[in-house]
Amino acid sequence: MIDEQIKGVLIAVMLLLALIGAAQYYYSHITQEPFPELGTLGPNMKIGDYPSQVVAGQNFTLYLYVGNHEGHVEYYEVLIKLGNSSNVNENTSLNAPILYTFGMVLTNNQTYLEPITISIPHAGNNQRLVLELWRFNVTTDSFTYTGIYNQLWMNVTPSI
Amino acid sequence: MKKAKQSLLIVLLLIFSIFIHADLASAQSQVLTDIQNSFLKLRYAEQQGANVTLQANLLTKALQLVEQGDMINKTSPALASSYYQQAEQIVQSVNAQINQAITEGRAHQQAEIINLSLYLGLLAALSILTYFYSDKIFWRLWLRYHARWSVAKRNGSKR
Repeated sequence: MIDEQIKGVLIAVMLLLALIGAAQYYYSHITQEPFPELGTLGPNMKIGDYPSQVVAGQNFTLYLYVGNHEGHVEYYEVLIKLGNSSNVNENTSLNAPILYTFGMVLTNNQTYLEPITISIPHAGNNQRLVLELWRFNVTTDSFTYTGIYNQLWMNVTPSI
Repeated sequence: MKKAKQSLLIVLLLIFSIFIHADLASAQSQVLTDIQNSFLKLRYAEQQGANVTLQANLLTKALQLVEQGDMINKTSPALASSYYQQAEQIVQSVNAQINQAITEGRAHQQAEIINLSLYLGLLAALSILTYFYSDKIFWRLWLRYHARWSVAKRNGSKR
């Protein structure tokens, strides 16, 4: 007779394999900590070299980065607003006019990186360009603020 | 009289321009609504196991066309209208692909469940076989590899 302990070990190994297989199937279908990403890159496609001095009405380029790690396909909008020192945080979006809107539909773990050409209409010092990430809510059929935003401070000189 | 004609022409042009812009706004709004509806279908297709990457990329492309249209709708409404039309066509093509994607997704999901069931079933069968037949198999193999063994008497001291 083979030792009962060896038999037990063999069966335990098989049970472990079964558990690993089932867990792999389960975890391939769920996302532990869903989150979206928003990033703004400078004209050289790097985190840095952001324009701090621009001319009103003149185009400049930034790169917009959005990532979806929410476990399923999502429809995002990035709203670009121009404000001053009014409040924006993870709960409240900036109460300011929207300059541009960029939309994208991303599957899980898909990222979006595109150049955006924008211009600021009015001259003024310490103007704040705020980029907010909004997500389409399938329950309410409308976009809701994700609480994620980027901001760039810049001085806008009048065009000659 | 000439001035009156000119004024009438300007008024007509203004009315025409208002209609064009209203028409553009309506086309843009319609495309965005269609994109939202198409996205909802994509979400459902994904829940059914479909890979919707291609369709998602197409919807992003449609959104970019809408944005391009928005940027020029005041300066060249005809081009903007053409962008909106292209976006609408893309959305319609996505809608046409969704049913096929759902069918493929369901088949893929079923195949995954069958594979997992087979894997678990095989392991269960192996466990049962191990439990009941491991002795027999072990000793049979042992005999096969030790069949030529002979027993020899050794001279040794008795303890």
